Amino acid sequence: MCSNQTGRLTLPTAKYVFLLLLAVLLTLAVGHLYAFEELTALSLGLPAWLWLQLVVVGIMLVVAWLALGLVQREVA
Amino acid sequence: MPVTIAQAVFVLYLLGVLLIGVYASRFTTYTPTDFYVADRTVGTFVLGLTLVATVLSAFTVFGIGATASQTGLGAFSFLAIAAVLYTLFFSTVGTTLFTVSREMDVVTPSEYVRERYASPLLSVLYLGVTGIFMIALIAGQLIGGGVALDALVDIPYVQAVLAMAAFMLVYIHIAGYRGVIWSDTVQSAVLFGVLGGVVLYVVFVVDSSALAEDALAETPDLLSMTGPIENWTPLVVVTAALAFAFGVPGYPHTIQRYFSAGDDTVMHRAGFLFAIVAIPVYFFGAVLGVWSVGVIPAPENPDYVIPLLIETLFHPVVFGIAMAGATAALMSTADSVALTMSSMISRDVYREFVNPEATPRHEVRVTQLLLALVIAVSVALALGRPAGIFPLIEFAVVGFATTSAPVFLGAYWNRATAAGGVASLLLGPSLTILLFPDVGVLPSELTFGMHYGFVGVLVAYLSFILVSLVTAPPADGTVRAYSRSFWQGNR
Repeated sequence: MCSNQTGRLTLPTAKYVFLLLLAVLLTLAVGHLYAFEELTALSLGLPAWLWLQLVVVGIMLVVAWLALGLVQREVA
Repeated sequence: MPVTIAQAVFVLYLLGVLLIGVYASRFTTYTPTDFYVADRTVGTFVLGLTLVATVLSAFTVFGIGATASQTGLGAFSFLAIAAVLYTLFFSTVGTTLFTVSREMDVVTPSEYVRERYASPLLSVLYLGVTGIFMIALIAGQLIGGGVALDALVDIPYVQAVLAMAAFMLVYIHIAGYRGVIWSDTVQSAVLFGVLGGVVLYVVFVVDSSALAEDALAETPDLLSMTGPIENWTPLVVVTAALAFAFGVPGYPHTIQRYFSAGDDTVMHRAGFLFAIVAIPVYFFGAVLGVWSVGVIPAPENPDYVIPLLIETLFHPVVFGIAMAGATAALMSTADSVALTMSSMISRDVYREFVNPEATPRHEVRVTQLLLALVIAVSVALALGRPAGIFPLIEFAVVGFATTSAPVFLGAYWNRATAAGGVASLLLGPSLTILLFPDVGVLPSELTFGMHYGFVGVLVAYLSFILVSLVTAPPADGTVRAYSRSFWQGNR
């Protein structure tokens, strides 16, 4: 079972989801450096890759928040 | 000689910080728990902003600008990624250490190390090794401020360093941690406001696109991801971020902030508030650094590019406020480090070995005396100026990363041992020092393209784990009292 009777994740499931979210975080961190490297067109004096990087960093913060919610909450 | 506007604003700012310290002293009781961690009553907003102020330093105003103007925006890439990783540490290890410190009445990082491993030796070694990097960090801040104030505000270097040191000594002495964090809150806001305001002005009034074109004409590829000298490769960016991620949350003065949180939710939220404030500040510093190349293509000292840009574009009052903000950034780091180092020496050396009968009030008095000594040593190093701002602070940050294993792993791993801690504290920092480019004992080829600090972290953590596995851990009761299961959180 992935969740208990109260709907919360069981501990093994929470661990896997946490590690998955960490993997997503690190993939975003590394991946965007390769994916956006050629995007050098300027907007407001800054390259497109930098604006996209801000978006990625924002997404990373959201992923981190979700991941840490799994550590902080009580698990079965 | 008439006082300039910038000098007047700077002096008024210092007086303002001093007044915050005087006000905070009305609420300060001179017990260790209050003087070191404000009686563990700090809320989310103040904790988040003191984390920002402590982490952001002369490196932010001077170092990022210099680095970005010379090597491009990769400096922001690694700092932004690192800031996200910091939140992971703040919300996990930070919250765990908060819980342990409250239950076991721990107020200094070296005290935690001593109690967790039942090893006064490891505690002293931890204090000694982190002390090297703490002095380097304080000195780096004073150098940053002194050089800037000399070049930009015409306050002679020696007088500037002594004035900053004296002001810090006074308000820390009278108000302790509460004075530090309240001034940090103001200083974070000043730094964010000044740098953000300058960026907005450049974008909407000056024309950032034109500045960028001028900068690119001066330095082609300045705005590429890897930079004009292609040093910000993905491998360097990610390993630098990881090295900083183990370093910044592992600063002794950051660890002491964990102990001061009002509750575990505060710690968790403050960690994210930190990222929400710090990432924009890093962004502001980096973009101002690259844009400055379009205005000041050949600065006499690249550390000054952001202040020079502001001086060129703005009224002297704004420039004075910017210099006050820059001074705020570095003093808010230096004061935190000085207080933490003094508290550790007082509690974990003086009280532990010299005078075990010391009363709490006496312990705080010794801390106040040691503050003067710590600041004096840092001033002496600052007057010697052994390295530039960015390299010196970078050295301190990655040095701290190599000292974090006994704390981070000790918080969760019941097999962690004192012998593992000793090995980690000797091997990791030593390798980092030998690889430090300004020392240059070991060739950079040994890093295989990774950031040298990350290599030191790897060695520190590997040695800690390997030695711990073949040595005996402390008694089970000690381990359980001072560590937690990662998955059960802190409830």
